[in-house]
Amino acid sequence: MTSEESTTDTVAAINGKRLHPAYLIIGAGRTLRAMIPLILLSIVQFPPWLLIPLGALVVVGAVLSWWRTKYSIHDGVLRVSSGILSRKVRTVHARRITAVETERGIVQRIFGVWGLKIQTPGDGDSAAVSLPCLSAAEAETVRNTLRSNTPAHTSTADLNPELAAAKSQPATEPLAALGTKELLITAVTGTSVPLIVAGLFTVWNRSRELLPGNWQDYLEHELFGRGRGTVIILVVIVLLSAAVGVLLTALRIANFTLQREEGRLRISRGLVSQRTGSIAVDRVQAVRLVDGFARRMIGYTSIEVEVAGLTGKDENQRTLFPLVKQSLAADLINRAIPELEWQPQPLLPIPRRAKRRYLTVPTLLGLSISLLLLWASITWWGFGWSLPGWLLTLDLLPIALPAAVGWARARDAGWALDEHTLVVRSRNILSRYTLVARRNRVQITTMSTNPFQRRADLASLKFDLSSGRSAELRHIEDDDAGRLLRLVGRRHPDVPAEHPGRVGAQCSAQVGAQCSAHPGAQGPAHGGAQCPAHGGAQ
Amino acid sequence: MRAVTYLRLQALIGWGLLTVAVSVAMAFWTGLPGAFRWGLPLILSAITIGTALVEPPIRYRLFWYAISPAEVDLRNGWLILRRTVVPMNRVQHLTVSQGPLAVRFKLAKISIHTAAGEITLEPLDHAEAEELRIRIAALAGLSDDV
Repeated sequence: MTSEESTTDTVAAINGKRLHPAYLIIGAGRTLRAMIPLILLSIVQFPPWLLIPLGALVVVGAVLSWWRTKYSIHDGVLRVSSGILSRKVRTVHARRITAVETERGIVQRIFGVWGLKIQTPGDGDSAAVSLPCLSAAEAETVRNTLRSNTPAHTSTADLNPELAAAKSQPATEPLAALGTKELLITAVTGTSVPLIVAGLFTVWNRSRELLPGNWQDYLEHELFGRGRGTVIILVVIVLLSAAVGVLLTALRIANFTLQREEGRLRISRGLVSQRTGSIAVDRVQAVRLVDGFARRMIGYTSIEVEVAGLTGKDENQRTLFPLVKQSLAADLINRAIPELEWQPQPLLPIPRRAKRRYLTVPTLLGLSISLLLLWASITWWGFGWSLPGWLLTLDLLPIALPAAVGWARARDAGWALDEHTLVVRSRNILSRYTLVARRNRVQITTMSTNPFQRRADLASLKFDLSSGRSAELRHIEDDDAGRLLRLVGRRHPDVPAEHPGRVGAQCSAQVGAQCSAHPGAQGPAHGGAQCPAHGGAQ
Repeated sequence: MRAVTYLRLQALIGWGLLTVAVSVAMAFWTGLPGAFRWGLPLILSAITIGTALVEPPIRYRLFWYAISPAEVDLRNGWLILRRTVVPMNRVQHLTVSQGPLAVRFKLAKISIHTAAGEITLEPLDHAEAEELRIRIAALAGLSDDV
């Protein structure tokens, strides 16, 4: 081939290169894995010699796809062409890249290669380009070439000097590394139910393989025959699967380190399969502190970043740091992302008079469930169901629980606005989330009021971020809501955050650009009476 | 008032047809308890009346929008009122769309897409929607050439 080597005269270019030859094996392996059902079927259904042409096809396919896959970087544009029959070319502009992730599993480690995944804003697979097999040196070259084309450091000029100093300091020193104790705590508190279920399946499958047949029969007999050992066996299985879940989590997040280099955050983690993510700080829309129930109890929290394109994916990809003392979280965030310029301050709570509104809907829901349960219990009683009477009180649980959750949500909700950031704290059922968003990066701000809120001068707010996630603030004073509506999302806020005006006053302060923005006023009706773009207030 | 009629028809076609279908089904489904056979059609009729008679004029009266070089400001809704602000520099692209019913009424819907989702202004006069699309595109710096 004509262009095998990258040119050396310009740093910022890579000419058409192929992936590492290990892709031949790894690619074929992936194809084989995808074809397992087909292979099983062919073994059962067809003569075994059919496997030979099938295998040949896989090999030819792997070779062809390796031969046809090429990548190049020119003028800050990454170009990946692939496809055996139909040619597919994908181009990504370096400026659009939000995150770069390198990873290697066990197989890739054996061959000493890395997989590179390049994330751009947007959802789904179309927003990510991956180069599955690169040698360490090649991966580094690609990263450096892309980086030299990114204007990550262009915004340094308009920042204050100490900030610039913070950015230019050598980045070899990690900002934070996860110690063994923290690793254990993270693994134990962060093991999710799906992981436990995965662990359960692993344990069950392994035990079926390892245990002799009669043992297995005995187990199944005991389990399904309600034998004496059932409870013990179930407990053992649950404990084992929980342990496996913890182990899986621990392997994933072991060696977690956070580094800052130039305008990027570098996150590496993993013991068996290693991952290194690199996120452009400029693309971080917000930071989210997630206080899971268990972690909060022992005073810890975890930090996530909101970056466009890293939505509904693996939550580990969003994790900036998995476990940090609550008191040190703000410090770590400000060291990692000084550009956020977050000045932690006490949050403004929900107005006292509005707190009861957090209880209304859950309690009503719970009440209807309780009534249904009561009705059902009494009916069953009538049919001769021999339950003791005191059990009826259990039917009241659906009221008590939602009410407690509603109360906790009202207590935890809060907000703060300073010159650069918007902070919104909320709670779902057990976990508490604190979103620290760059104030001028909020994409859509929505204020909504229902009739009851309008009567009480309250309003709810919703802030949508380009990461596809949002933060909600319910039942705050409508003055405050209007103020936030005016101020958040503006690139150059005209009015200082401390301005204590009502919504109307704020509007008239900046009326030059704004027409008829008074919530109570009759705005321009649609269909003809549209207000002029540069006109004054109505 | 085209818009109100349009909204009414839309509600009638949606909820009205559902109501008729469910009522017919309930009339023939004798196995169900009486509460269902009477209750479901009644509830659906109430929703149809609400969305076809009461909602459209209120929605029409409360709807407004404002365009400035800095932002798109929109209020819509009827029971729950929503006020949405999108900074102009966040607008990524715009679409004007018309359903078959909207074509007959010369009405259209304009969707303003951002990285975080979209907001929709509807129903607008079709010509007005086109004009609005051009104006927002100009303000947001979206050029027509590809």
